[in-house]
Amino acid sequence: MTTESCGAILAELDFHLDGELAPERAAAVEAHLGSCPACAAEFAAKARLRDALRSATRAVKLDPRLAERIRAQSRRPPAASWTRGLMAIAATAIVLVGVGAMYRYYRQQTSPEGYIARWSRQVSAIVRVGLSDHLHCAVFGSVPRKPQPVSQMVQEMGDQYKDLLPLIKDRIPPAYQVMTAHRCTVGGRQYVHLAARDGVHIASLIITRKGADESFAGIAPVMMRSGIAIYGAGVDRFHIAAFETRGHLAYLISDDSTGDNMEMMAAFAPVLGEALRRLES
Amino acid sequence: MRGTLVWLPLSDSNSTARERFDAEAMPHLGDLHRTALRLLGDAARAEDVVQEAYLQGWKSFHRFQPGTNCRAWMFQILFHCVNHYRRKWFRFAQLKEHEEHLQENLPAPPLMPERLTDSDILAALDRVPVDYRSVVLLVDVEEFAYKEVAEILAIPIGTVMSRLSRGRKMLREQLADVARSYGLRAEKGQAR
Repeated sequence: MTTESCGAILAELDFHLDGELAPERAAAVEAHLGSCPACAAEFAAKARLRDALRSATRAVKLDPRLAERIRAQSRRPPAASWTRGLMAIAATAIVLVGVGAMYRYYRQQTSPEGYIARWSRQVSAIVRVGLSDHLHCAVFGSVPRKPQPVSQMVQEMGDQYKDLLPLIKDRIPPAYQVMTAHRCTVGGRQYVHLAARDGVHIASLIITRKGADESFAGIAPVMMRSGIAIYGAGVDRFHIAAFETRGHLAYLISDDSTGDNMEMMAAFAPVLGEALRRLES
Repeated sequence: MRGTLVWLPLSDSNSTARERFDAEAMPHLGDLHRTALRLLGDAARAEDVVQEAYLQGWKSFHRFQPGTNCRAWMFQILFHCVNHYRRKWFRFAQLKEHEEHLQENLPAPPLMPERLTDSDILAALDRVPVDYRSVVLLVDVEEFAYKEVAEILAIPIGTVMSRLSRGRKMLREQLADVARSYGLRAEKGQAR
């Protein structure tokens, strides 16, 4: 009995395995397999590999707590239907127009300090520590559009903190570029501040020494990375990720709403935490 | 996931939407999770990306058409999130569309060795380039039809087929390497 050449059949075996051949082709392949042990062995090997891969992949244990985290996050409601969607859009538009008008009003009527005080009141004291430096220094101050020379950044960071610079530069997402790094003082408190831009957003990494009783302990962390608890907060358009060491508080604050703020901090936290602990010892 | 501490809560009157989302999307969590784990190779990253996919899914759940395939829809969102994540963090080179050319020149793959552990198989899979690995996972493990895979990955169905054949061959080549490293002999005999 002669059937089609092995070459033509072999090219179709993958698709036959998946049941994706048209009925007449499937029948032709079946006929060939019935009379050609070599192709039948190849087909069996493909099926064995598929089954082994399926069971190996499915046997991996997954962390069941992910479901709880996802359920917790989905408590923020979506638009339930297109009518509600439209209503939500309309409501949002009205709110935005209103907020926009109020924002302009406040910007005209009040100093940056007034604006900062207004938003800062809405966050807990521990979040305010980082947010106020970002608002003062990156939002109302100015972050250069061209990066400062590295030598200048190193000098302004000072001997104690200059080693943080390469750690951050190595781990910042490619879209971002560190524009300035310096020490600054806001409200009598000293900060180490690195500010980066990605063309649209500004992100600040802000580090300060802990005051008495200052800690994130008691707040539920958003994620753990390498044993470090990372906390999250948001106010107005600012997204805040933070962690602490024994002697320092570190914040990453940006207006990047794509959700990468937390991820960026998670990338920094292990090395940054280690560097800060070295300073503390 | 982000900004959960002090965002002012919005009204919570959408319990029915949440129940529907829970009923339709949550059962696929395990499938998405293991796929993300095989694509990203790191448990923490995989969890973050899956969580992001569910957040995106929840936010756009009003666009999901009831009665259509929620599992495929969630996978589509997952791959969107994975690609976004990889672009942002790895500057990875996208696969160029010269696969058909490559496929012509491939030698016949070695037959699959008999004795391999699950971790051998996963290690071999992890070495297959991610664009091929994606198709192999979606077809072999998640059992999607080619047409669904084409939609999930936003690629033509012909590309699904060529990446699948090539991906499976690469997997076998990797497994043969593993077997050789154990001093096993890959089975003799070439199917031709």
